[in-house]
Amino acid sequence: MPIIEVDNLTYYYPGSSKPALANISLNVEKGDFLLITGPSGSGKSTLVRTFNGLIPHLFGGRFEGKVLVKGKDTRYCSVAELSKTVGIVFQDPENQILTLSVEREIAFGLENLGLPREVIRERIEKVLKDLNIVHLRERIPIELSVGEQQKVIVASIIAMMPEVLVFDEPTAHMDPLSALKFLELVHELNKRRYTVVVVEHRLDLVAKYANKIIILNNGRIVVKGEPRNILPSDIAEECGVDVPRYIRFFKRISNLAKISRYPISDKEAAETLKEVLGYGGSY
Amino acid sequence: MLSLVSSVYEIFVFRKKAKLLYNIDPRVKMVQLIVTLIAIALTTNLILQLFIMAYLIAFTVIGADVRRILRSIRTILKMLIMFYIIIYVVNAFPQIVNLNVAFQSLIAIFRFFMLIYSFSLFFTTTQLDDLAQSLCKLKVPYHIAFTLTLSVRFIPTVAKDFLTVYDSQRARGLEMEKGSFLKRVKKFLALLIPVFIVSFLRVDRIAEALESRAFGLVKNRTFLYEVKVGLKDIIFLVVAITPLLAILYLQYYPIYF
Amino acid sequence: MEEAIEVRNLWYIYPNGVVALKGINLEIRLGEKVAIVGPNGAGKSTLIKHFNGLLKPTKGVVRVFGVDTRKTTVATLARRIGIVFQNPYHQFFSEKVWDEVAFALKNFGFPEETIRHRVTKVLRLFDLYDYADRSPFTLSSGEMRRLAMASILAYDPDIIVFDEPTVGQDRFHKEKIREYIKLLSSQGKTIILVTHDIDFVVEEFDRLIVMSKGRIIADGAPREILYNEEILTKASLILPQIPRLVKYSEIPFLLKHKPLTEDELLIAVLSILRGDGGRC
Repeated sequence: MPIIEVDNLTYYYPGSSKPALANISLNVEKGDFLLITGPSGSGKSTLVRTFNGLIPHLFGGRFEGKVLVKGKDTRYCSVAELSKTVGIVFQDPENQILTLSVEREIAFGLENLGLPREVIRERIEKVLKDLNIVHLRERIPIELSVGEQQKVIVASIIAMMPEVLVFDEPTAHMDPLSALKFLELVHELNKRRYTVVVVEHRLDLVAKYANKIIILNNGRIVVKGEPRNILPSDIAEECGVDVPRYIRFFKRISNLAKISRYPISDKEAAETLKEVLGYGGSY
Repeated sequence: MLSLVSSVYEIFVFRKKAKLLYNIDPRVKMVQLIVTLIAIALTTNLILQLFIMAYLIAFTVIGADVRRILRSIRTILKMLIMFYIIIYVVNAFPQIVNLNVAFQSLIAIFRFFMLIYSFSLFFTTTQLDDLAQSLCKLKVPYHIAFTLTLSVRFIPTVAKDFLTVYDSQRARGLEMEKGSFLKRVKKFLALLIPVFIVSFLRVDRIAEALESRAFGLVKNRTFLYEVKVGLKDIIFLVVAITPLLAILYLQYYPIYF
Repeated sequence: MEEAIEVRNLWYIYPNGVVALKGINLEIRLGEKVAIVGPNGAGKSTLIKHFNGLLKPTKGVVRVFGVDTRKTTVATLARRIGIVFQNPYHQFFSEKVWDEVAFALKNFGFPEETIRHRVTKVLRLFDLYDYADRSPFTLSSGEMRRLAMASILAYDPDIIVFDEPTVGQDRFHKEKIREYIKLLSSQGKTIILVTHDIDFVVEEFDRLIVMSKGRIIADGAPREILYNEEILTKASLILPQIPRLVKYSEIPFLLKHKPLTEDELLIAVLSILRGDGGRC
């Protein structure tokens, strides 16, 4: 059974005559790394908010079709209930930090779940160690850098031990190096058996980690599949998706040199380039 | 503007320290604060007010981060001198020199200073989450008590927004110093409206974060650090309140030396 | 060319004690197109706020068109140097798009007729004329950014500074911003762009200034700097996409020619394929 199932979902924000999402159907299997991308306003953020019930419960509006999380219909579960299974890290850390110390920030969700004190303490220790932020324990979260803040948020969510982690443009406010490190962390979490859903524009940094990609445009799924097949497609280009530049480059020379397999990482791209130029890549 | 906001933040923010006041139950400290405020408000005798100041200093030295408080004093001082001048000028008018007014204004400013000092002492030594928890134990519903913590948590954020808006508008030629009173009020709208809007937009995002962290799921949520009134706190309460009560007593039943 | 901005030994310390700028020396001439890059916290925003006097130096001097910024007002400086800040929500307060654009013009005391003329012109330029009577808050995020730009360009400053214009923008909107910058530059405006989006500055900019921890650690031609991994690492930046590809490929000809864009890479690759590229 897929861990998240979206079945012909159509959603209208309150007072809106145009659907934010139209006839969306998709499955997320356990262990997936699903990448969701598309131009601004295409419905990406709306879609992921249906995974933990924020839509329809917090936002209201007209909700047609259904979303099942571990078989349960999200219309009949509260967001708080669903947060045990699906955790979301949003774009701006400033709005997700709710307390005045890192330790308490991590404890917050666990306290809300009503877990016993010893369990909370254990989980805090574990998550501080896992994410290498033990030294930040007593710090005031709003005084940290953006990268550190997002890490603290991730820690707070993982401590709740959800099965699915959703990231909505998590690197929007980060500089490139922080973004790279953060997405590596997301990849690590995926390797550690978390199912991961990431909404991102910076495809050059994250496409190589994903086993599935979905492109949204105007509230609809335009195409879905494996990044390697989807990114070089004309549809991706037409939708204005930020296709990695090496893919765009290889498409342009595809009539000069045969590209048997499009690369989706810098290393693969380098090998492909060497092959094209007759330097004999090992790929 | 920037330095004002920055110093106000420093005066109130909590940083953990292993000193006495940091480990006393917030409810006890709240009682201490309230009685102190009453004492400050009701005493009119300068000598008694100096006693209150001595009381505050004593508690600072034995229970709080002295260096921190000294730093906050330096910043309040500048503000207070300005207020003093305003109050003096307003009350002495049309005279230029009036010793009585000078003295009375000094007392007023001193009182104001002790007020801020007391609050600062309280907030810098109290974890707001603990304060919220104490309020819950006093039967205040959690989501209301939590609003307190959340509001304080967002004060620096809103202040930062305000400064950003101020910069943006000045960069478009807005000059707050010029113009008639009415014009200046209108100009202030150019500062106020964006801050309000940004704050309202934030509310949605914060609500999402709260919901996603299971806020409100369970009737009796756990508190990681339990706030309990123990023997230490009771003793502290007695020791803290007695001098204040004595001062209040002397205010109404003065002993003539 | 005249010196538009001159910065000499600029130090800036925030009231909370943070030393944000440590001895900055810089000259920007009229008509230049400069990108200032660096990680969050490097001091980029602090630096540009000195250009219009929002911040005054703790030590050192900043001169704009020869005038010491400490000896004049923000409004006077803002008249010649416009800053488009990152978040449009931090400036919108009017009931109509028209008023938002007219705001700066009114502050600077332009006559009514000129205001009408300028606002119309700039609204048309940014495809916002049809929205003139609408509330700024009903616009989409891309339209809001255009409005923010329009509100600055309306009063026609000589120098335009963009503070992180591409944060959170999709490809289409980034292209639009790039086009506007090109247009402004072709009109002789001095452009300063502050960003950490290293891929955005690969085209269009003849000069790159790299900041890190309050200092300028590089100032020169983009081609040299964007292939210099040492400088970029110090500035917590990564190589832009095409240089990254070239670096990983280790192909000497390409490393020598340092292509920055797909077009340049294409030319270099074609030249190798034709045989005049030295395939050692």
